[in-house]
Amino acid sequence: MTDFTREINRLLFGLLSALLLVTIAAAYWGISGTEGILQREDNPRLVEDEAAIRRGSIYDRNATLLVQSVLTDTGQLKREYLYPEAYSALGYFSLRYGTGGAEAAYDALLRGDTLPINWGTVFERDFLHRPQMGSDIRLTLDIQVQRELVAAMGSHRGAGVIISVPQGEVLAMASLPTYNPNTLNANWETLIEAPGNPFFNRVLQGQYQPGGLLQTPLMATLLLSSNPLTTLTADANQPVILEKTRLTCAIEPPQNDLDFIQAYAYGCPRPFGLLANQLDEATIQNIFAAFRLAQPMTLPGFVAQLPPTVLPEATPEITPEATNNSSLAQALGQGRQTVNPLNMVGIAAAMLNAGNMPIPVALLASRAPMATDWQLAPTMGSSTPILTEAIAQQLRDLMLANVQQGAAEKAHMPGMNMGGHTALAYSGEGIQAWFIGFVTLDNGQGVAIAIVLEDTDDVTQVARIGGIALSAAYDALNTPPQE
Amino acid sequence: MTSSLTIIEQQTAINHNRIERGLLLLAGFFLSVNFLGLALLQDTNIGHWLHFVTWLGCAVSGHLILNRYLPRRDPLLFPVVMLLSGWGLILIDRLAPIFADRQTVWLIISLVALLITAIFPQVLRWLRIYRYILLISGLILLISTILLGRNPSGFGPELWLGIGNIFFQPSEALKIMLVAFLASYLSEQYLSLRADNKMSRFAGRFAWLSPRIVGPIVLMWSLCVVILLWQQDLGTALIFFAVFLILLYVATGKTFIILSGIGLTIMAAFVAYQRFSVVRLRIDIWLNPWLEADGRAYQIVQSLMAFGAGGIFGQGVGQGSPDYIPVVHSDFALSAVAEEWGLLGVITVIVCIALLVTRGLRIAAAHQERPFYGLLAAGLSSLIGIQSLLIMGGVLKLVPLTGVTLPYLSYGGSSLLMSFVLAGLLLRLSAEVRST
Repeated sequence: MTDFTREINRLLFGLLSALLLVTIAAAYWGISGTEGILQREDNPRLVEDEAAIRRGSIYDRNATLLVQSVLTDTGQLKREYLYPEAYSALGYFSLRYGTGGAEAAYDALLRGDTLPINWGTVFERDFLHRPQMGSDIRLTLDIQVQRELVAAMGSHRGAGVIISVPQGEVLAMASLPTYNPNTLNANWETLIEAPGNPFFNRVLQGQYQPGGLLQTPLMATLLLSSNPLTTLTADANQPVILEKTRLTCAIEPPQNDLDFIQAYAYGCPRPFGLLANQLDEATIQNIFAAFRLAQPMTLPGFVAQLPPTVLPEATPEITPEATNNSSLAQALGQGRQTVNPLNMVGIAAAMLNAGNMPIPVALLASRAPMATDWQLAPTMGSSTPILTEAIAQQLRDLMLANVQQGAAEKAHMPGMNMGGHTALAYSGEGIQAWFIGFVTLDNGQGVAIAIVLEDTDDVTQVARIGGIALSAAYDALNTPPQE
Repeated sequence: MTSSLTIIEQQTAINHNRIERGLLLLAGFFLSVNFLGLALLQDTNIGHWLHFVTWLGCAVSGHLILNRYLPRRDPLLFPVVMLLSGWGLILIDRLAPIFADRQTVWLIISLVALLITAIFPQVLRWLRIYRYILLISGLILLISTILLGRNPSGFGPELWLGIGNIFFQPSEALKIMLVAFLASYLSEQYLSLRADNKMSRFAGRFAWLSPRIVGPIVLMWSLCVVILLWQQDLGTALIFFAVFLILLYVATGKTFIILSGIGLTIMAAFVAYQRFSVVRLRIDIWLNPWLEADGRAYQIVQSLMAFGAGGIFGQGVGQGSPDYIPVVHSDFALSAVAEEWGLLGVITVIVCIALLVTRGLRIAAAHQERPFYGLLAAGLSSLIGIQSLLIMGGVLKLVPLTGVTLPYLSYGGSSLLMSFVLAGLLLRLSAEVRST
């Protein structure tokens, strides 16, 4: 009888070899091939993992809860934004649309990506599948100041930012119009088409022409060159014509002939235009560079990475009709050089800080999950010099005077040492009203502000808003928070 | 002498009994831990425990009955089959709980079928004697499916026969029927098929032209083409043809049969690719699934992601997301294992399949004196091996995806029933080795 042992052995060898091949393929996809395939955008597990992360809460500087993650009835985590006035500063978190604002800037902290990895965390995460927990963060924002600023701005379109001096802590930051991050997913399509582009963070992304606000650097130039500020200019209240644009005083001064101090107080461009005619291009560029205006000031990470990325029509755009690149246009803030409110608040702050411009910061501290102690953020209180102390002192005095009499006098608040400057800027067919200012605190420190309104040429309105907001900041910082 | 042999046999039976009991305990421990994990995760559901208790009852009663009536059986087959089927119950509880009760009932029916097949020696005799009745029954089933076939889900291939809400997939029974028929036919021809090897060199070279070989090849090839044409059931057609080639190879000892079979398969695949959209789709997706990861290749891409997500240790029972794979509980059971039990789980399943194949072929090799038993064991073992390889290779993108089940693990009553019958036959055949 012929047996079939050989055939059975070969068959066994073949089948076992094939099973080994399957094992190798499984090992490949389970170990080596993991990176490429799991990071694919169409991997639904990524969204699921993301949804399971318990993001940390966000608090204001006084530990008032602003944002928290709550568990819904369906067992899913939902981000809850508690103060409508803080929406534009806090940004948004959405599984579908990503992050914006503070949520984007401190995403790694809030997700828990920055926490040290040890055996305990590996065991909890990889073996017990405990959800990843993020750190809580404490922003430098003061919710009361933020609320006052937003309330004062009302239905205006524009931006405002308040920082403490010398620390540079952002106490309030408002960009209007804004959106409700609690209903973001439902309203996204409407919001990205909405007029005024609510996603656009005007404080950081705005490209405004500085207009008359450049009078402060020009005054500094005058002071540096020891030119007398009392030189009168005849018919100083007359407008300056820049091609098709007519630059006027911020408000009508009481007389026609004005010296630089009066022109500065009333925001009249003519004397500064005449001064600019004597300056060459390089000097003007040096002024921009000295005052850190050549680049937009940023708060790292705050700008959303997702759409919209285009400039909204509501934000002032530079148009060829309204601008040219002449020295005169540049010096009067109508050239191609644009700024954001964070640039301008730095100038105001430098007046209070011996000519040193504080570098703005928005993160005060963070707290690891389950921990009780807050860890202070490392980069606080740095500054960069832009003026000498003497010049800064003189400019501060001028700004203090502006609030007593001039275009900024609506900012005046009794009992407070407040300074400011208002100005108009022109872009296309629109006019923006600017206010920069400060208030000194009892401890010698202070608070600085910059506001721009896109929908009005009435500087008294912007000055009034600035005064209210500075007053709120004064009250907040002069009154120690209750524990 | 006789009494000492009996003592050795009794001792062997006791040892096998202990091994089987130990392995069943191990399987029971593994399953109880996983059922517990699942119950804790998905709220305490009495259903989970009912399914586990049913499995436990099946394992204990099966073990006791086999001990009583089939003491000299292979000790590994039953524990491996019970482990895989219990694991399958967990998967269905986890991924398709609405089918879990039904699958549990099928488990009871399947166990009864296994015991009947294993205990009654007449079954093997009937399979050998009534092979033409088997063949005709199989063909009737096939024709009935072509004419009356339905799909329980209301769409897709109509491969089921149903009465009311009870459906049965005839191709599952057909597999065993055909293996039994071929084993019987080839065992009858065995001596003459082997005698060809001893012919003159010239005659030996053209021995493959013998009607004894060419006849069944043409018949089976035609049958597979019919299945492919009418039912577009690529997986079943491939399994039939592969198992048939293997049996013919074992019976004749001629390597060229395998080679020509592979050639025929490639030729058929080429023609099928040109003619049938379903085949073209499967091959295109196999070659490059990434182009249509969100569309037609969604299933296979999600399957590969499941392997990646599982890594080495897996996410843990109930903690992965294999439910992103459509019909994961049926065709993609291995992917679910990969995601929740990791590579270790996948290797365990592969080892179980390898054990079934190895033990089955070992039984076949032990039946040199009874070609029918040997060929039947080889055919049944190959059936498990080929079917497992096809679906495991499919979900891993090694071969084009064919919609067949992973024996014992996947959801499907017909599949489970026939896989248990197959195991019952192997158990019976293993017991026959001892009594030889």
